[in-house]
Amino acid sequence: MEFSAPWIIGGIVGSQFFLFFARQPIHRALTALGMICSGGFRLSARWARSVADQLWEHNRQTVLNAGRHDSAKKLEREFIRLEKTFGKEMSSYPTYHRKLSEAITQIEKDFAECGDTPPEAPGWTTAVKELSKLAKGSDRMVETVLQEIHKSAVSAEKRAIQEYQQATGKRHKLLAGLQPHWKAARSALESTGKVVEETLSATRHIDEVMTKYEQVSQQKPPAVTALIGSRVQLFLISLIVMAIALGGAFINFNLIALPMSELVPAGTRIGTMPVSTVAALVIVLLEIVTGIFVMETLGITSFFPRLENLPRSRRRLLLTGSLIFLFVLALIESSLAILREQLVEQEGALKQALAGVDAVIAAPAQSSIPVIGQAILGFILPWVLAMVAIPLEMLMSSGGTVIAALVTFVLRLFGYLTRVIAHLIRFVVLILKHLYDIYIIIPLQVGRLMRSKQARSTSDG
Amino acid sequence: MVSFWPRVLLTSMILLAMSGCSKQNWAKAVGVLIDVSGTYKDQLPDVVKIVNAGILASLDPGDSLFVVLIDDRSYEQANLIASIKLDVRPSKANQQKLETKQKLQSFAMTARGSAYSDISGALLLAAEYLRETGARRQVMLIFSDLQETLPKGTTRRFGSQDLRSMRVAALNVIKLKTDNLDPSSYRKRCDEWNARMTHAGAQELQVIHDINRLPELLAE
Repeated sequence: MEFSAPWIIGGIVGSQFFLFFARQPIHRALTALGMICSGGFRLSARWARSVADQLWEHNRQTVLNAGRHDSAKKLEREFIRLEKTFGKEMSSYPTYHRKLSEAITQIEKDFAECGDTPPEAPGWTTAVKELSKLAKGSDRMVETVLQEIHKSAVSAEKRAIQEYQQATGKRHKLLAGLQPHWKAARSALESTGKVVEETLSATRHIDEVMTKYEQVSQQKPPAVTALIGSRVQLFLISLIVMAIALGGAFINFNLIALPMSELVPAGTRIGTMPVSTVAALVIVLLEIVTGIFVMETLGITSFFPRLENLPRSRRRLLLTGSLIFLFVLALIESSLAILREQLVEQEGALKQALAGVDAVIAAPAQSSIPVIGQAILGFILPWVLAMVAIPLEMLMSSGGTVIAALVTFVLRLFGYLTRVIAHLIRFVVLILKHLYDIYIIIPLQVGRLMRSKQARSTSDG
Repeated sequence: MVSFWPRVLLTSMILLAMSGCSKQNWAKAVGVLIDVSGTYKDQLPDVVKIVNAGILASLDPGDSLFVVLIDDRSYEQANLIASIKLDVRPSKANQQKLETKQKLQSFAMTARGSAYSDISGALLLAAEYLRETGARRQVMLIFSDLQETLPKGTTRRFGSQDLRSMRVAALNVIKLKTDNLDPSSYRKRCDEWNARMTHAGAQELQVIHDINRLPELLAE
């Protein structure tokens, strides 16, 4: 059925008039539709934002609590270290002090001794000099006496010089003897200085830890950011270590899966897995569990608070038991690894034999290196797997924070997008209204003209 | 005293573990049918090689193997030339495989040809043994030209459940002179066998020309 131009024009004009008269209800319907849609999106955005905020706050509090706990522990460790330093170093301080006092006393004494000058020649030398002046050219008797006096004066002087030299020598000897005392004093001073330096260093470190603790306690934003950053870093590192450990577990599993079929019936299955495979998996898991117990009793990890509260003797008992069990598991794995090598060789020989190559069956293994290597690997891997407890704990403790941060991010992104959609819907409705008005622009303008004319005539009248 | 919920949890876990421990026989059972009729007897050494290297080598501990001879009247106990259920321990299973290999090789050297080939009788005999194993996967492998010729007075009809859920494959199917003249006769023969087997409850007959596909077929 074809429509001619007059029909089309008529239809357009008719629809324009219809839409002109229906303008208000349609505008209202569009507004309501826009409100419903954008309102729904806005509500979703608000909900997402509030949930994200709650989650973030919860995460922040968790991180802060953990950070506070860590800082407190670090502070405690530092105090213990300081106490040890003080206990060890300061206990030796009295000895150093005594040594120093003794050295100083000795130095003082020796110094005092050094200060003693030898007695001078008797004071009568001046009198003799005067007498010699008076008696010049007088009596021979007097001259003889004077000569004797002169002689005795000279000999007295010589003796005095000799005594002086002896005293000086003695002083020098005393001064030379002072050297070890100086050295002892210096050494005692250096040791004291070292003690003081170490103590100062410990206190400086305590200051740093204390500052951090204060920042965390006061919930300062940089401290929170730093804590979250360190947790993310911890998460990534533990994730990498866990991936490597998983690789180790996989190798371990493959090492014992085949020989386990010799020990466990291959026909029975759990689900779709043969029991032998499950048994190998259980052994690997047991090694990890035992490792967790070892780490727990050593106080390295804290998965089970009850274990932490156990008395020291019981913990030691548990540790010994776990280590023995781990050793037994390592021995089992080692022997299974040897068995595996034999089975692989047998399998290869059988395949050759079934294919008709009989000569290969009798050929013995040329080298024992693979067997030894597998046995060592089988013995070492359980101990390596036992270490998984540490990164596992790190992963679990930091994982919550990272996941919560990710969920918060996703929620915020969702909230942002829904808010944008709500805005878009609002504007789309507005555009639709305008397009509607554009379509009916002629009757709309005519109507407006008529209304203004009517208003003018009313105001004139 | 243990509270209620931990007890419920423990019981559920035990029940779950018990239900997880399947009693189903996950092993596979393979029936091998070897034709020694005049048109196929020349293939015997090759067939034994395929059985040794392709089938025996692919079997896992716990699997079963039955080798049935197709001759004049195959539905009798004497036609079962080898029957083994592999031990669950790989080392023991390997030993059994070697013994079976020896048995099949000596069979290949001493086997006599037959004038007729009773494929249906061998199928029925092998099917009975396969069913008895209760294995989850039951596979029937036929080494023959698929040309059945029965001695006078012999009747072979399959019941609808005789080959129920069994996977049947024909391997190393040689073409007869008549097939060379008219290939449609070969296809018709294959189709007829397929119809008979599916009627007996087996899965669709697979004709395998490439022997390298054998491990794949057994692993499926």
